[in-house]
Parts: sequence; structure tokens; C-alpha cells
Amino acid sequence: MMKRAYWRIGEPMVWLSASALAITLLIAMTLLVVVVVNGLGVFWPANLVQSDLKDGSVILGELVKREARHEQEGERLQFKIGNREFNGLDFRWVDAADIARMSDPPSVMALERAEYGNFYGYLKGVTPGQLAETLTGTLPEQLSQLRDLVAKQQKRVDEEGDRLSNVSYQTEELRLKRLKLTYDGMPETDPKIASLDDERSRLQHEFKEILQVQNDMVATLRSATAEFQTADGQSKQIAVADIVRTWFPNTMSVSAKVFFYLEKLKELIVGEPRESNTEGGLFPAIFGTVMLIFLMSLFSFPFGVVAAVYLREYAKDGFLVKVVRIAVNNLAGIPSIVYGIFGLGFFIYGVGGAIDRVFFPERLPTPTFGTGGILWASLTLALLTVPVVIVATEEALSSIPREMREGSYALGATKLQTLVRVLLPMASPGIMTGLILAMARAAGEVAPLMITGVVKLAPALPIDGHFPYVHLDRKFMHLGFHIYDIGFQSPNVEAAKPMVFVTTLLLVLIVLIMSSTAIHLRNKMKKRYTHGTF
Amino acid sequence: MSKSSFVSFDDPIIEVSSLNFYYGTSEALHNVSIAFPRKQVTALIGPSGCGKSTFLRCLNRMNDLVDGTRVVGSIKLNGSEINSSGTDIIELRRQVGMVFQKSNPFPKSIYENVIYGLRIAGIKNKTYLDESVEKSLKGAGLWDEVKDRLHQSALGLSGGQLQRLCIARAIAVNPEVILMDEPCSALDPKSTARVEELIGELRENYTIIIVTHNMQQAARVSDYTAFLYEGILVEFGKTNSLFMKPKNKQTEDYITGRFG
Repeated sequence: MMKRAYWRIGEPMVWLSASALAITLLIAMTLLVVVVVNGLGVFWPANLVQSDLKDGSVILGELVKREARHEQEGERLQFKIGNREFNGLDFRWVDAADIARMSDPPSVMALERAEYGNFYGYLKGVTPGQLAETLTGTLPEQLSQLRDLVAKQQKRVDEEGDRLSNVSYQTEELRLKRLKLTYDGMPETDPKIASLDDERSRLQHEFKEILQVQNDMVATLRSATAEFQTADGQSKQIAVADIVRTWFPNTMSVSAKVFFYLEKLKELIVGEPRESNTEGGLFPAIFGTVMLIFLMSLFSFPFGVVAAVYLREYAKDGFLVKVVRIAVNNLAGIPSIVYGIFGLGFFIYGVGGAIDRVFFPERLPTPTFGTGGILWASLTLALLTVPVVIVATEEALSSIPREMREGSYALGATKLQTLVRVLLPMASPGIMTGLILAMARAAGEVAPLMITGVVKLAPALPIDGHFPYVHLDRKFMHLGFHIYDIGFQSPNVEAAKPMVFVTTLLLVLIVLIMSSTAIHLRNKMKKRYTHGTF
Repeated sequence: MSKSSFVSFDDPIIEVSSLNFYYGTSEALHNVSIAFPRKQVTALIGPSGCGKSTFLRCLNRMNDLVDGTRVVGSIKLNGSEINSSGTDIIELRRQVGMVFQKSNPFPKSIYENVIYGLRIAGIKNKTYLDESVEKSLKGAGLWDEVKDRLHQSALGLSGGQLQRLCIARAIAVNPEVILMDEPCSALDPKSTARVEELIGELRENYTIIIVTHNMQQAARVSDYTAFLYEGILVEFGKTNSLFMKPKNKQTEDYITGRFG
């Protein structure tokens, strides 16, 4: 009797459903914890350990990992040894049994360099070159003074660089203008073309002058060097301009480490990538991702809502509507790469190619819109996510009680007025839910982007200071593609691993921020537009 | 075809003759002919499913919104036919307002709810709108309760207040007729009494046609009563005489509670 009651009440069902939820949560949490733990730890400055091996050689590096050996007793240790130009590799495994002595030498210095990765060693001398006569204080103090001077000089170099890119942008504009004129049939001898040519040679001259100035500046810049010695006694001259930051990991206080960590975090978010994306910042990728999602929403949101309104409010229920509804639901099940191929064929080759033939024929065969770009990628993603918006909007519209419509009609409202003033506001929380799902889906897609305009390294952002400011034809970077690229396509996968975790963490965070903003908005709408219980 | 065989009026506001109504193939109203007196309250009573709500919704062509319905016969509002395809339904619904069984406030402020009908008619004059809100809310006996929170959401009002807000919303567009479809069925006795009192006041200016399940209510608020049974208008007459001396056996059985 007891037993039957137990089954009838449904206790096992409660347990079954609860454990299903628990497993789902566990998997999601594990994934997040792995990403967070590995991602957050990347920038913390680890101590540098100097190990004297029994064979007489010395290793200096961060202790990354310890693990038990497979075949024998004992442990083996993995060190990040940096100094790529001497060692070839960034990492080295050492048997614990081979190590005679380990120590944390206080004066060891770590450098982050613009090229060749980290350098670990001892500072032996500072040469100011043409930047200063003499420097005062201890060697590290001298180095930091010199770095300030170098930073100032670097700023001047960068200013010249900006001028250079400005001039070359103008030159390119002129070239395109000239191309257009000659394409339109203007003879080469026309004074207009001659004036363009004059202008162009003036710009080219200016370019050369600026370049000369910049080269001199760079020569001065690079004359400042510092001399280092590695743990095994080799010495190395490093141009101060190549040093991104320096630190003494073994003598840093905790607050200094926190400051260092925050500095690195800032660089990650606002900086440009270096060393085939394995170091430096992710700003272009963050920017590309966010802009892509925004553009996608801009296309899929109105389109989806309008389509759903037609399906639910205007179309007569019949065979055709049923077919359309089934088709919309099935669109969500098509592999995303198929959307990518469709985007490539239809948007890029079809629409983009037509735009090029009509508006930019003089530039062909170089494509303007007939190649991958953020516009086509976001349209492709919009196509991918529009079913989600349609289904959510239809659900939201159909769940509005009939009395609301009748209340509006009874006051003499037309269908359109009812829709705009009553139905859409009441459906808005549901529509927002659809948009949130669409955004999350779009943020996670990489496959269709790879053939519609994402690149490993984009030379310019899709928004900049040159008219018309928004360049939707440009290629862009994306965090999801970045993960794939540095994780599996990078020349130095081991060194890129931390960056993979950081990028993943960042992508998850961006999705989190965007969807929680949307959820916040939805809750506000819900409060405003739905009935309380009374 | 036939003139109403019941009471008739010199100048009826609505005149229905030989009205048949179909949901698909099933007939919901059969050969209903009736005329409604001006500025009087007429109650429609009858058991569930007798077609009284359907009939009421014919009067402002609300049934147009339901798929698969068909209406045959004539309904004249002030002498002009409303059942023709050329009727301006928007204008019709402005003249014939409606209050529903379940209050259906829009998710807007109290103020916006009241002027909804005016706004969609394109009226923008602020003073006119303000006056209209005050007049309508006073007319619905709600002004004193909400005058300090006109711009708060209407969804915070109580059930009885909401129903009166719906009445205010209906009278804001200044209709000639107000249709009420069991307006008190979801209200507690106190709110019901308030709404009934209000119906008594509204009668000064409007013609009211009310569908009700509650015969005491019909007896209390109405001047005339019509009894429908299975889609047929069984009896129509002065409320007093219909309740005191019903001419028809079915009416008598119904109002004495023998069926229904």
C-alpha cells in the first residue's frame, strides 16, 4: 500500500526531473568554472623560479604545471622559460629528480616584448643612445627613465604614422576618383585628370617626406637599448622600444601584482593584438563582435516582428500559412554553415556583386561590396536568427486575450491602431525574449562568419574617422573566430592557450552583459504592459 | 418581414428585424425582431447559450471579428442600416460603445485609457482631452477615486474600479448606445451595486442595452426586458409587466426559476 502511494504521488517523477535539471546545471557550471579559473589566472604575475639542474645547466621560468610521470615514480614540472630566440620553445618539461636546487632570485626581471614573447633574465646595462645624455640612479631606475623617454618618442612616431595613413588614405581616394573618371570615358589629357595627378604626386611627395622624418625618429628611438643576461649566462641587447612592460615578479608586493593584473586587463580590452593574436589586446575583436550582434538585431528584429504580425494578424489561416509556419520552424534546424554558404552565394556574390557592377564598376575586378564584410555577415546571421524572433512574436501575439483586441475595436479603432497601440506593447516582453535568444545564438555562431567576412586580423575597424564613418563593407574580427584561430591555427599553440581561455571568458561575458541588459529591459516592459493579479 | 409582435416605439434608436445569425452552419439567432427605446435601459435575459451575447455583439458588429459567422436580416441605427457592406464600422462602433464581461483595461495610464477612443480618432487638443477625461470619469463615478493618480498605470485599480474605468472609456467617445455584456458578473456585491447605480445615472444621456444572468439585476436596473431562449426572442416588454405578469409560459418558468 505504502509503495503504491509513493508511486502515485509522483515522488520518482520529482526526483527524475530534479536530477535532469541538476545535471544540466552541473555541466554548464563546470564549463563556466573551467573557463573562469583558467581565464582569470592568466594575467596574474607568477614568480620566476631558477632551477639548477644536476647536469650543470640552469633554467629560469614560471612554474606552470606539476604532474606525476606515467612510466616512473616521481614528478615532472613544466616551466614557461620564454627567451624564444635562445630556446626556440616557450615551455620545457623537467624531471623533478634532475633538479638539484630551486630558488626565487629577487633581482630577476621579466619583460613583455612586442616580439618574441617574454624575456626572463638579469638587467646588466642601459644605453640611452641619442635619446639622452646620461641617466641617473640604479639600473632599473635608469631603465624606467629611459622607457618614459622612449614612450614620448614613440608617441611622436605614432603621430607621424597617423599622418602617413591619412595621406595614403587620401592618395587611395584620388586613385579611385581618377579610376572613375577614366572609366566614365574622360580622356587622359583632360585637365581634370592632370590636376588629380598633380595632387597625387604632391601627396606622394608629402608621404615620402613624412616617411623620412619618421624613419629618423625611429632610428633615434631604436638607439636606446638595454643589455640583459639570461640565467645561463648569455647576454642580449634589447631595444627599449620593443619592451612593452617590465616587472620584478619575485619582489612584487601584492598590491603591485593587483595593479599589474589590472593593467593587463585594460590592455586586453582596449589594446590591439600582437604576435599573431596570441598577445596584446582584443579590442578589434570585441568591437567586431558587438557591432555584428547589433547590426544583426537591427536587421532581424524589425523583419521578424513584421513577418510574425502578418502571419498572426493578417494572413488567413489556411494551407499556405501552415506551410510557411512549418518552413519558419524548420529554418532553425538548418546547419549554420549552410546559411554561411547561402550568404556567400546570395549576399556577397549576388547582391554585393550587383552593387559593385552598378555603383563601383571602375574598381573591378577588385571587389568593394562583392567580398565578405560585416554587412553581409550580419545579414547572414539575421537570416539565421529571424525564425526565433518570428516564433517568439507569434507566441506573444497569440497569448494576448481576445478581450483586449475587442476592447480596442469597440472604441472604433482600426486593425492597425489596435496593433500599434495595444497588441505590440503587450507583446513586447515576449518579443524581447525572442530577441535575447536570437542575440545569444548569433553571438555563438562562428561557422557562417568564416565565409562571409571574418578575418584573423582586420587592418581597420568598421567605424572610423573617415567619411562616411561607418564602413559596412569592411572585414572584421570576432571573438568566436579568434578562439578558433589562436587555439588551432596559431604557430605557437601552447603559448596561445591562456589567450584562448581569456577570449572565451570575454565572449561569455559579452553575451552575459548583452542579454542581461535585454532581460532588464524586458522586465521593465513586463511590469508596464502586463496585468497584475486582482 | 414582420414587425415586432411585442411593444413598439415611435422613435426607436435601434430597430432589428428578422435577424438570423449563424456560427458556421449552426443557427444562433432565429428571426429576431425587436426595437430598442431611446434613453432607456433594456435588459436581455435568458439561459446560458440562448444567444443574448451574440445578439448584443450584432449591434456593433463585433461578430465580424469571429471567423465563420454570418448574419442575415436588418439592423437599423437611427433609421440607417448597419448590416450592409458599406457601413462605416469605425463610426458605428463610436456610436455604439461596449463594456465587456471581463474588464479589459489597456496597459496604459488611467488617463490614456479614458482618451483611447479620442486619440485613435485623431483628437490632439490637450484641453479638450483633459476635460473629456474629467467628464467621463465623473460620469462613471470614478473621478474622486483616481483624480490624484491619473497618470499611473490603470492596471493598479481594483476589479470594480476597472469596470467603471471601462465604462468611462466607453462614454468618453460620446456614444448614443452603450452595450453591456454581463458587466457585473466578475464583481463583488458592493462593486455590483456601484455599477448598477451608475447605470441608473447613465440612462439620462445614453441608451443602454445590458445582458445579464441575474434576474434581480435586470429587474432593478432596466426599464424594458427581453427574454431570449434558444435563439428566439420569446418575450419583450416593460420590465415590471414582464416580471409580474409574463405572457409566455417559458418566460414565467424562467423567471420563477423553474429552469435555466
